[in-house]
Amino acid sequence: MTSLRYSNDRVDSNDLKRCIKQALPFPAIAALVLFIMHSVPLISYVLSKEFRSQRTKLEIISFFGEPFLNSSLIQFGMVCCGMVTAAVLFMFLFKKNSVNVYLSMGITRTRLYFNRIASGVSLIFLASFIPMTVNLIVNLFCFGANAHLFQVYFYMLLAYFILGLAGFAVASFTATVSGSFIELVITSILFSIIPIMIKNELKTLKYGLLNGFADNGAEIARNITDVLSPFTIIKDLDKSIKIDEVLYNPINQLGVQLTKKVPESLMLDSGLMIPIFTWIIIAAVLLALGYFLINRRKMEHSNSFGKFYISSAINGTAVFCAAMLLLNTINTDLYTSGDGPMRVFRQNITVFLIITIVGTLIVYFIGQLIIKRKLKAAVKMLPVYAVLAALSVAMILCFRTGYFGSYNKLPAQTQIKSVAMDINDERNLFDYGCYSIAAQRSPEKAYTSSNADDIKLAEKYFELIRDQKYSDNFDQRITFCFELKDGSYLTRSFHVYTRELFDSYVRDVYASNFFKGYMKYLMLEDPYPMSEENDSEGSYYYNTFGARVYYGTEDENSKGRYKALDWYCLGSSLVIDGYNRDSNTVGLEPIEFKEELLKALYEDLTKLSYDEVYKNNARPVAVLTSDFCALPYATDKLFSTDYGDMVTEAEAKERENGDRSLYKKNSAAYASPAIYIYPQMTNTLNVLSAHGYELPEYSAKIKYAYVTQSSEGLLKAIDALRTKLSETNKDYYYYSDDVNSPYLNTFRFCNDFDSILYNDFYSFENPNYSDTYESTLNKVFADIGKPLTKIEDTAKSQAINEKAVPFYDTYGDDGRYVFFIWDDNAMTSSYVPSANADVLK
Amino acid sequence: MIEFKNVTKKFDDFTAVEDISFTVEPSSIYGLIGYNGAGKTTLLKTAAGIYEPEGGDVLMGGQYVFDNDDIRKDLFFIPDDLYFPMTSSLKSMADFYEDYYPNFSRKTFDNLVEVYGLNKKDKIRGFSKGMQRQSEIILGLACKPKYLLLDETFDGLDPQKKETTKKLFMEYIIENDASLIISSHNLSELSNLCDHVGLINGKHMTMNCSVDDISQNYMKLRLIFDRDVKKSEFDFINYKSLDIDGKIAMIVFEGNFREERDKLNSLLPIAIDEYKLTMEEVFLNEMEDKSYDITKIFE
Repeated sequence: MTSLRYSNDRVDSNDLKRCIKQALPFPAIAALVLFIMHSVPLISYVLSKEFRSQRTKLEIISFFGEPFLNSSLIQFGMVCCGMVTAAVLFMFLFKKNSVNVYLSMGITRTRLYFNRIASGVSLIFLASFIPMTVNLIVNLFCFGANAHLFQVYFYMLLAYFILGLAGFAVASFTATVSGSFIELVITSILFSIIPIMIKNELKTLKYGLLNGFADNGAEIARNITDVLSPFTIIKDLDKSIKIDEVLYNPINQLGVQLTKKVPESLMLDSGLMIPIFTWIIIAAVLLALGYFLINRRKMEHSNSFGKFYISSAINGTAVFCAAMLLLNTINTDLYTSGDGPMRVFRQNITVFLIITIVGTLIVYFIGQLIIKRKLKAAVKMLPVYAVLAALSVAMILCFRTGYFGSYNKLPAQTQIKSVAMDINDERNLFDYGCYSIAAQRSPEKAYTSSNADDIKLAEKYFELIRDQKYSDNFDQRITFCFELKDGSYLTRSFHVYTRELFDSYVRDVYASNFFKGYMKYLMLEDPYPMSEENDSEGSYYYNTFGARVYYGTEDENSKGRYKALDWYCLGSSLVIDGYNRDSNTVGLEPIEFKEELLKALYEDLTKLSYDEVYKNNARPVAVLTSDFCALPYATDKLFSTDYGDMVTEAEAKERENGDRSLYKKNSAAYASPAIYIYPQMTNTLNVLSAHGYELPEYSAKIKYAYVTQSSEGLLKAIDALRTKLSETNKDYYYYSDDVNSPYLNTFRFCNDFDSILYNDFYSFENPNYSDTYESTLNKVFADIGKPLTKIEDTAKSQAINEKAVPFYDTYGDDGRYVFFIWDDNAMTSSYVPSANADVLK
Repeated sequence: MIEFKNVTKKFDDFTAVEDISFTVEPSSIYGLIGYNGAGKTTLLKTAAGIYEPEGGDVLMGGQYVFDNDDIRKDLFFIPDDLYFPMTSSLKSMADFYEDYYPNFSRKTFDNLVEVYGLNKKDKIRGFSKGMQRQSEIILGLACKPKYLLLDETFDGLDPQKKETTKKLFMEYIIENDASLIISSHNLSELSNLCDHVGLINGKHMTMNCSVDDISQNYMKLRLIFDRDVKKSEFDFINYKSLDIDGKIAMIVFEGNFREERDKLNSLLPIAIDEYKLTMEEVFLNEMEDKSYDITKIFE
């Protein structure tokens, strides 16, 4: 008589054999694919003549061969292989007739589960093991043993195995809580994309809710999203596993290394193993959960959908996450920039939470109704929703409060080494210099000050701006950067919501040592020294003041080409009818003069107060503009395009899109007004004079003025102007998307008008377009239904000029734009803030 | 021996069977009777270890069945919905069951295939419904289980195969000292097969007795009168059921009916005839009484 133990073991092993036979096809296909991808190229290569000759010379060969299919596809295929293998093995759970047989036979649920897991995992392992080991053997045979060889071998073996295991573990787990094959597929996919959704959700909330948001990667929120990457097996696991990096990296190339000791720098980074170990643990947890659940599985739910609480919870969670993602994408947009009737959403966390909770509840409940098809059963899933909602609310509040206050904690003064502060420059003079702070690309490259007063100033405004209450009347963004003594950086960008605070900030910063030091750095020093390394990376830096602009690309023609800025002095005009402007323009050469000029400008600008520079409504005696050109030793004059790249005139002419902005007959007209020279800037005027650039004394007076009906309509006006030009000249091309900024200040507005018109005057031969600037201005505003009001009274016009400000951030202010016509036929523009509106009456 | 002890099985909020207890002795065949949806299949699946009961237990040979691989090696369940993989044949299914049933007998298998006249190598999916049932019966008996659970097994078998199968079952249980439970709603099939029957009605087992006891416990009397009679005239009688058709009354008694029979004489019937009830009649009498006026259904 057969002993019970013997018969039990025999049944168990028979079942295991059947599982292996059942699951074999898909891992076998995977093994074959990996063999073809990796082993065949290698074997062909070592059998080739090329290899024989290279071997003699001990040149580098590729260890694993170069796959001819996209490796991401292969890696995704391994994940799918794992999932399909699990589905095949656990298919018996999904039909009542097969359940009847398997569950009534002499084998426990535990053993049924274990056999399927063991067979699946073993076969998936073999699918990776066989082809990788073939490659190992070939290399051992050809080159002998090597620590690096084994390192790469084990990495590749584990990487492919883990990909398959990840899919297998997820599908095995979901099989134990699914009633049908369809439910298994749906639940597995949704389970796999939940981490992706959470990751994107975190990103959305981070960008939308964090006050004092920093763009760089050293922040907790980004770390959390990075941690989630290995979990997203459908999308990101292959990027985490980094098979490509190992495959194509020079460390993958052996041959010559085998004759020498492998350099430490070529050994694999241990960090590459983290996602692998992560998934080994995740897989173990999922498989253990599956073991627990199979013993509790209600077999009466076979061939059903939505009967299992856990799968319904998973699917409901996925629905919830999708709803959250969608809602919060819209919500955070309204929270940060809701305008018009949507203004009620702006910075209103209560409304944000209400929308989130109500919206997700509705979507979640509908989702459960679809899954469960019964109201009572759907209601039973609400506790899951409650947990998800609570977690989401906590997460939202966590971001909103800056991780409950820790995110924007001001470092202790003893920890601070140096600071950098944004210099909000309404003329965009310093934008580029501060670019590295604001964009947080590389705080290490930001100009910082270790002056104690500057640090105190930064601390003061950091706290004031951080703690201000929201108001929707004003909005400017300020970035702070603290370099700490331990080498780390704390960088935050805040919105400033009151003009008073902003004005106080800019005035104090302008008067600080930091600002003066920064101006010296930009104008007199060479902040970005050119180097071969920069050139090979194609670095590009533009500085309004920059004596040098480095523009290196991989293009041999432009490599090592330096550019400098041409300076033009436009005389006493700000925005002028083209003919007058032309006659007052001079180009400023050579480069040595430019450096002398910059020094003089530095001395003058640091002497003037903020109001003298930015709020001066006096007529400037000259305007300096700048534009790109090649240095004297370069043979080609270069043109900038609207895309920011630089091309020669010949290249520009060849362009099919007829980008006429390149065809500048007079660079000065195209150049951007940069610095206004006032009578008190004596150093600058002296330098100009010493080099023969005499500027006439200015004695013109305002004749009359035009006033806009409202602060709105500028975009429409510019659009109308653009349209008008397009109608008359089919080659017209707009020059900048910046025109669409809703926060045009006067300078930008004039700049845009100026450039649009000058493009036409100087770039196009258009005999049909003969209007003067003044008449064009009037026509444009009339066309948009907001005709300008002419102020004939000279005295009133002059009084308006006294109250006007040339550079003003018009956001939130209901002032008026004013155009002054001077008795020398010059035209200037300015802005009367709403606070000074009385002067217009 | 198979023991059902206060077995209760629920599906979410629905109770399929409640507090069911009965025993199936070795070398006996137990017939499980009930209307469609009464819970017969549920009970059998619970006995087979597929379902876990919410209350009570099923024991076989004194051991709990649920998730017990030792006991289930001696158990074979033939469900109503048969399982045959796509390209399977009798031979491949024999190989399959041989892997899971240590007592599987090839000789018995071959003999049974011959008895039923089937081809071992043909694809089972191509068989008729009846042939598929025969296949399952062959495989079940070839596994030599001590406990056989059969759910509507005669469904689809032609009369000759039914008789053959009955004989095989009876021979099998005696030779192997096995216990067999078979469910059906076709009482005529079970009448000359089972030695015990249980009736499931309204989640509970309302009848559990030997076949012999049925014939002794139930009696039907036909009374013929010379006048039309009414139901109310029989109120003083303790009966199981009463049907009146003009001058004829049919009364079913359960248990000791002699005394009640004697009382009927007071109604002065012209004639009283006694009939033993068939199992079907017993079954119908035990079911819930839902009378319909058939003539009104299609109005």
